Amino acid sequence: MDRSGFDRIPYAWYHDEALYRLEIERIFEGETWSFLGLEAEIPNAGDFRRTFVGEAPIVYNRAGDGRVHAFVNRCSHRGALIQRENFGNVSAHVCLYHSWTYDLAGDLVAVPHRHGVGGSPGMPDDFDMACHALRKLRVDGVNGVLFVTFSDTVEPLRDYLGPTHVAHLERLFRGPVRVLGYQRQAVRSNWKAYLENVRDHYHGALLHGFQSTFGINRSTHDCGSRMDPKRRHSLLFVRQPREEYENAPAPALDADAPLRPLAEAAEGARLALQDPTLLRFDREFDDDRSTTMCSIFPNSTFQQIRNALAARQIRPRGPGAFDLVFTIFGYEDDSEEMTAHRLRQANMAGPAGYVSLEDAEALESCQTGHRAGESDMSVVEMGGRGPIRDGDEKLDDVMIRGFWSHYCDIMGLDPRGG
Amino acid sequence: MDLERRARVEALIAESSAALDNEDWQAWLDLFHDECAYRIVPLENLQQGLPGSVMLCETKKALSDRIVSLLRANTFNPHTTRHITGPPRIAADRGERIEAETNYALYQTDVEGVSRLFAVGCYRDTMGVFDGALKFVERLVVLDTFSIPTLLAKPV
Repeated sequence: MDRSGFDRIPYAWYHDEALYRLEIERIFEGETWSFLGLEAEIPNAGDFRRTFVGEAPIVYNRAGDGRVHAFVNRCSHRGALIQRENFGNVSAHVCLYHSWTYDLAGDLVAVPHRHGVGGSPGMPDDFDMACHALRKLRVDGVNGVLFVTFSDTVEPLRDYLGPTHVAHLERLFRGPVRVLGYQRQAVRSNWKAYLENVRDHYHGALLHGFQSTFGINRSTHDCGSRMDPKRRHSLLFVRQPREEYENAPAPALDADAPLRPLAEAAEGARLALQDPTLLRFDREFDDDRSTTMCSIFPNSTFQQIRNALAARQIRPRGPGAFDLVFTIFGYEDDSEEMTAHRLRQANMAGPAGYVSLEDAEALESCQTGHRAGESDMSVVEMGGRGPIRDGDEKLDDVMIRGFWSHYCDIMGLDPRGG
Repeated sequence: MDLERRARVEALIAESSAALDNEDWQAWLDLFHDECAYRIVPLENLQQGLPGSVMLCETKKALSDRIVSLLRANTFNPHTTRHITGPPRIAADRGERIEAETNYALYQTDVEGVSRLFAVGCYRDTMGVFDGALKFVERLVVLDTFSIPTLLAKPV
């Protein structure tokens, strides 16, 4: 089977345990930058949070000098987690087992009974505290969005992201943000299927019936997709032309209209929301993009659905499962009313999202469906088979092929991307 | 609180579970007052004082929209549900309003007959009597299981 256009994906790649181990090594712990978290989550010295990069448990915290440090959440002594809470404020990280203590830069600063006690000799004379720091990871950021890498040789973060995606992150994180909450879901699918999903223009209106069912017209909207030169990242967007929403009244609740009985409300070919305040779009960026999905290889998507903003982090859990964590945010200078609007519009995405809840079901359906067909391949041809290019098409899954070309490159699988 | 009043609280919660498990959505909506709010909130957000929900319906119309979308627009894993609730704890009884906390366990059963625990948590309900009937004014569903298995389509 010709895979030179990356239009045939072997199903085995979603199930193979050995391939998965190689992905952890070459991708998550290799030459990549992974999304870590937001600076806004750890505003004060001593604030920490836990996360995962690949399957590695990670702690990130802010030190006394304001710098952010990240390290593997694993004591250098016996391998226990040095932080067992998800968030908090500490002056040091103390392992529960033997109280080995690390400062906020990840350096080992105390080993109980190191010099012996009651005739016991303690640690050997040549025991060197400096050799037993936590595994420190390199951290960098764009406008408060933190990325982390296991690699000492990967290119600088901004080069890794590329100008298109740096510009988009600067757009989305245009000012200090305020975290509004978290949403998590555990999906029984290979993690790569989610990376395909957020690069897939084709499925949107077909899988997610909310907009068409409620007559939320998207037909006049134009779309596009943008990749970085290595085609590892993606940006998928929908435009809502300025005149369209400047001339239309903002969706509002008609409080006087009687509540329609369900049998009546759910009838007919075209339904209408009885409380359309959910849909309001307050223009807040210097462009007309009403939806943007900016995905940074390998573990993140930054979402704007009208005014509903979130960072999504993918945490693989073996070849057949991954966790998806949504960090919902607004801006520090949002009015109370705007915050309320963002919280309401958060209904659009997430594990219960009006235009996203189907994704997990589709992905699990694939994972179950192709488990017994590992020798077969999936077909990725919408938008054509040839060169992998940016487009302004609505029906397009060319960025999926872009993703696979980079995946083959980084994994050393044949055929290589070009 | 007298026993009859407590029995009405228990009955409202039992009716809610039955309506959800029987997918009698109109009956479920009818348990809510016309001015009501319904939220499903991950426990981790409550613990951190964060306002985000996974489902937020601030009006009964928004709640009705959720059900219409469930019936007509959304696609999700086919399953039945079973809500198991403990006895409600009356947190406050101010005459006009009763506040009750009720632990729940929610199981889902798929098309192959395999059941799994979907979520445990607590209902924090505010109820009131309207035209002689006890109704929900506010239902806050605390989701202890804040890592949601697969997806959350139906109200809890």
